[in-house]
Amino acid sequence: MAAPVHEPEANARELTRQEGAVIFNEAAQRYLKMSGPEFLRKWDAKEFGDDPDQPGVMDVAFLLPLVR
Amino acid sequence: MIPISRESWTWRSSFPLSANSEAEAVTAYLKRLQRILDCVSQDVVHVTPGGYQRLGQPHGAMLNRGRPTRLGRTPALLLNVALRYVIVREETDQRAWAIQTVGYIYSLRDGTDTEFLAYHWHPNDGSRVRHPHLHIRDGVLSPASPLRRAHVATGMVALEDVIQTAIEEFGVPPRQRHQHDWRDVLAATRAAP
Repeated sequence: MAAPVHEPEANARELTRQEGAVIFNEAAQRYLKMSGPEFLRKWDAKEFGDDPDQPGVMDVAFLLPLVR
Repeated sequence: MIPISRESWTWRSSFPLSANSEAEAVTAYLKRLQRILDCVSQDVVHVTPGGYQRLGQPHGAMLNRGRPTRLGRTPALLLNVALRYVIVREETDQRAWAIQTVGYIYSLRDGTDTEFLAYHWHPNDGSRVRHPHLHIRDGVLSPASPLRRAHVATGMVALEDVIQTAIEEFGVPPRQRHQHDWRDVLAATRAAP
């Protein structure tokens, strides 16, 4: 007989806009040593080159729904 | 079997009349992610603001508030999980809701927080590479290695596969509560509709 499948210990949670902005800023600092607003400016200006699939850049870009 | 194509991958969670809301579809989707991750981490999945509503708009789900989460003890491995999803109406039943995964980043980092494997699928984020692929960024690669810049094509990679790889190939111990049933947990989430 298969072992019982546990329910997860934790439950997912929705972030607030304020939390999202903090997390986004932390990620930009962590991966690219820049602020969240600075990342947004560079992203919008396409200053990350022809292909943004670079270490750190896509990790931060994936978090854009936190702030947009 | 999960329906797969090169440009879109649909992971459906549909519901009968008793569960016909966007929020219930998202809740089931997130519970499934949390159940998979629970095998190796007690950290929580978070969704971006508004992530339980707004039909058709891309939302984000991430483990540990977007920070790589520590797996195991010594030497530690770090896991980063981020997904994009949209809420859609079921094609066959307009009263039901479905969730489509529309992108992912699953990456493994070593104890110094250096990424060495990254499974990517980001068809809508400005990259020329729209298909699912793998980055190999191991520090032992020579500077001239073509692997350093390669996008190695993959099929769609399920989160279950990443967790299984972490356990079986990189020695990440399953959590105590899943020491004996982690395979069953992953098999159950893989088999879920």
